[in-house]
Amino acid sequence: MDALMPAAAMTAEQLRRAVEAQYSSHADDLIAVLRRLTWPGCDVHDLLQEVFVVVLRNARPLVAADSPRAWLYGVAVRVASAARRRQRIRALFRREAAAVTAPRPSVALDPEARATAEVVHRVLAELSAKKREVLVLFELQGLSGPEIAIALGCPLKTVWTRLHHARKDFEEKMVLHG
Amino acid sequence: MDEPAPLSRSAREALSAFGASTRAPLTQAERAAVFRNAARAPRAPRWQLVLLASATASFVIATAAFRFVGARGPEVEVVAARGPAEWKRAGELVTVRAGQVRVAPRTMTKVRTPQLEATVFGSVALFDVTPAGTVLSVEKGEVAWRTRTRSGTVAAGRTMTIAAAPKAVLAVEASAPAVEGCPEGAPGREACLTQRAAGTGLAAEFALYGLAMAARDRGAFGESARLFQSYADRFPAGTFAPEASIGRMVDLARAGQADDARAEAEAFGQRFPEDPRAADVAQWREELP
Repeated sequence: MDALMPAAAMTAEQLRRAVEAQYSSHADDLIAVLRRLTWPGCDVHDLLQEVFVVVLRNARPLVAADSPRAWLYGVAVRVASAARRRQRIRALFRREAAAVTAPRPSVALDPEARATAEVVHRVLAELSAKKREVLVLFELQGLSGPEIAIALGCPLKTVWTRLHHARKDFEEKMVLHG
Repeated sequence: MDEPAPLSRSAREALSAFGASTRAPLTQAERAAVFRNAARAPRAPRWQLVLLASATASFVIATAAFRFVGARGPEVEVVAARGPAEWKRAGELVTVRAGQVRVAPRTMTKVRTPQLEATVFGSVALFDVTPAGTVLSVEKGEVAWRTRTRSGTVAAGRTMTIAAAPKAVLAVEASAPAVEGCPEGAPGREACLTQRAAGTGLAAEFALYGLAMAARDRGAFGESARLFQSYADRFPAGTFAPEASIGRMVDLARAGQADDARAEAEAFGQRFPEDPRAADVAQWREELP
């Protein structure tokens, strides 16, 4: 019933339930994208909470959005970007943030796959933020070009251009890292 | 630009391994806790509002502090050790007429007593004003002072006394000259003088001056002051012009019009600077209430 109701007419409780429904659907995907856009050891649970703090305070646009998934990814990308910025500032002042939680043990991977994953993490960290975001959203999260355009608030052609350069850079750096 | 060419197979495999390593779903407990905490998170004030509030608060505090300090002017503490002190403050000028006034101003302040004018800045001084004179005691710092004839400084812990000068006595020295046809003591003399004063020439000048003197002899100081003014208006370079001015200022003071008397005394110094009574007039003016 809430889904059929215009967002503008919803009560606060109805909005909260609508957000909770989106949370249930996308929490795992969002925590994965946060993990992929940040650094090993980053407290992604905290970032996911931050994402939904933002969403709960701006619930109407989410509920009214054509693609709530893209909208949520957009918030997650911005939260991850802000976290990386804070991390850089802390590093600048030699106050490396201690990992609040240890990196979650990944799913069972053989040593070779684990080593490859670590190389990919380093390579992604070397990409520019814009390229990294597009690459992760498209290749790993499975978002379409139009959805990425919504999430990042940019034209579709920009998404394709960034993806083109991201793939190119990624391949080159992967070769360099062996 | 449309969708670009896909990644190579090896790159896709590497990304796939990375994706698998970072795909760790939340447990049910974590899932519930994250949303619950997000829903309960206190609404942090937006940084723009915080900035605006801070700027507004700073502005208000700075303005209030500036106005408070500016409006208070010099800090003057009155010590009424000998009855209530008589003093007033106008801007950076503190005038002490009687009693003890302790001055500890934050800004440069002039303190004027009947005997001296002192400049107090960054110092603390006690002014004890009595009919005998002014005693200046400096408690802290240094105070510069001056009178009409002398100047100097008083250091902390020192005291200086300026005795009051003898009270100036102003008197109209010239008596009324004789006016033909209006003999002294004759009945109807003032009517006669009034008639002559309406005329012209020396007779009218003498008659007008005689009328003013007659009025002050009767104790009608308001009327005599007005007649002296009339004399000054009609005969500004007259024989009795200085006398008329002195008569007017004295009679105005007697009639309770101290401000007008002071103005007349100031004008006397400008109109008759060579008059030997100019210094007396200046001192008399200083002693006006």
